[in-house]
Amino acid sequence: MIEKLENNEVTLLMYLAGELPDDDRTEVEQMLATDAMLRQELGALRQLMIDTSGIVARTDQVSAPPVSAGVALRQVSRLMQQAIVEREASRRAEAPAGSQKRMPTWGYVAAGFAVLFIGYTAWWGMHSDVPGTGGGTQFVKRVPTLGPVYVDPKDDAVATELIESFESFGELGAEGVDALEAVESELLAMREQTDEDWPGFTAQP
Amino acid sequence: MNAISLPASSVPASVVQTISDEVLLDRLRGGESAAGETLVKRHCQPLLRYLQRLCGDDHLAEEFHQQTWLSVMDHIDRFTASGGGGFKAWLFRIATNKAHDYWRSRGRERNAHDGLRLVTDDISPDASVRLDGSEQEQRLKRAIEKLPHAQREVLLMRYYSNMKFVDIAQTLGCPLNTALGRMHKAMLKLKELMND
Repeated sequence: MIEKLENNEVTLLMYLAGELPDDDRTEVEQMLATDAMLRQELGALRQLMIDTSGIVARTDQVSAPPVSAGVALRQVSRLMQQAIVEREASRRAEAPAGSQKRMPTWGYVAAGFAVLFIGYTAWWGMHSDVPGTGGGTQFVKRVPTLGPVYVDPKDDAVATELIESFESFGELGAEGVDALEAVESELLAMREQTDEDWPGFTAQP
Repeated sequence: MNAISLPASSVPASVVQTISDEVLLDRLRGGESAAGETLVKRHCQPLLRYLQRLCGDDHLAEEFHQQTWLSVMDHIDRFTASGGGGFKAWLFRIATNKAHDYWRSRGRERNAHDGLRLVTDDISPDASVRLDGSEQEQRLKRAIEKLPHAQREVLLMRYYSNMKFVDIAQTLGCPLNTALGRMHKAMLKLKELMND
């Protein structure tokens, strides 16, 4: 009997709370309809719940809360603001690398063209005609220590000047001398080709 | 209940009440602090009272209250409405866990069967208690405090959070029938204490 009553109280408590499944609620209502003692028990339990609520409510009425609602709100708001800021900072820190600013695609293309242009310009500078010389075949012999030497076989002054410049470089070293000799050979060959006399320029034996 | 999209602060109070906790929480998740303030305003009083009655100490209740909301912010992404009981149940669950963690860390002893009060180091009268408290006030408070801890916990959680018994049982880690039994015994005991 006691066990039955205990089970009833649990069930009735759920029934009063409105938390019984539909089937169980229907069953309880059917039992209540036919069992007066059960109805009495339900009434007592309902009153007990009302009394309990009343006791707790009165306790709250006669005693102050730990802090006022205003103070509690201020305390928590401060914490929330801080948490929101930290949360936002954490989100930014975790942003994937791909989302960071990068150069636009056209920038890469422009950079490629710029590299090509600079390369072509350098190559053109090394292989193009020297302006103001009236055209003609230009011979360029790159002297390792002297840089490119432009020689116009029809311009005697240029040839003479170059030769005099070479002679003034007394300390070119072996490599420099070799390079000068190579240039000299070239000049001789060019003179032979042009079949002209170059005043001031004579091949050394 | 998601039709309203205005920030909570710009919406009249009467309308704010119709905005569900879950919607406000979603806004708070998005960084809208006003939504958080609305949630606090809505729940701080029952939560404070619950902690006050549960701990029997106003300072602890205040501390746990702040810690509870801080935990809400820390775990805001984890909350799902599909979990038992909605936001309010989640809130009270966090608060209860805060109290439990504190008691575990302090190694306090509780004896639910003897109806002993929670043994604390600061058992001396709380300074926040009004010295001119009426006899009724004292009687009411003592009646609740004299309840065995397990029974008091279920009764207070039910009263202040209005959680379903199945959610209360889940929060406290006990079977549903056990939670219901504790509730029934708590009510009987409270009535008996008040009649003494």
